[in-house]
Amino acid sequence: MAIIVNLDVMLAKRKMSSQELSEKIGITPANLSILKTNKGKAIRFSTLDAICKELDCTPGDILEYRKD
Amino acid sequence: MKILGKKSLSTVIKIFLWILLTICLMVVILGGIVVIHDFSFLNSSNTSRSLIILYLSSWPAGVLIAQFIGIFKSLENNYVFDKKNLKRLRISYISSIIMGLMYLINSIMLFFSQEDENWVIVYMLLTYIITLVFLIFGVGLIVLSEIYKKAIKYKEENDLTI
Repeated sequence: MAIIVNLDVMLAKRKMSSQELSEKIGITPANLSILKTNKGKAIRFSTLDAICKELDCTPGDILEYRKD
Repeated sequence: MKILGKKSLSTVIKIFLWILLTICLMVVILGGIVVIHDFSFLNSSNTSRSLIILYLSSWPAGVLIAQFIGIFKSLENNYVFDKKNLKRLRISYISSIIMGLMYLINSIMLFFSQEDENWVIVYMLLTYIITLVFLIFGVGLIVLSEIYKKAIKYKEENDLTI
């Protein structure tokens, strides 16, 4: 897919673990892993909002468009 | 009326499906034994041809019932939107259409047979009805399997929406 989720990069920048983020935003580690590994089909605005709030970033920092 | 769970029809449905499957298997096995031991009754008469069609149709019928048992089991185990069920539905509609076509061939042959006894005409009409029932059932299952395919796709999308 042309949309890439750069969640792992943001997590590394904020020095936060996936487990910690999943606990803070209230989603399961399994779902966060789906998001991180680009296996997800869609992301809810509420999830994006929670991630941005916790990582103090914008959706553009997490999502990236790359031509196939 | 509840179909699944406690105090529901599920037990009755399961027993009914297993009885049907047993009957089908018995027809397949016993019919096979009879054919192997005595070919004499196999001639070109309407009766023998109808018996052969009846015997041959027990194979797809058995397959069809086995698929329904599988679907019902998955329904009980809450694995409803599973790709296995889609495969089962596909096998079911193929079986149903095969049965319909078998009876269609039989009814066409009865139509062109020279016998004009009353039972032949009545049997021919019944065969037409059975043909229609199985063909309509098969087409219905095709539609259902397509709906199921879309439902699985939506479910997977929903599961992967975080």
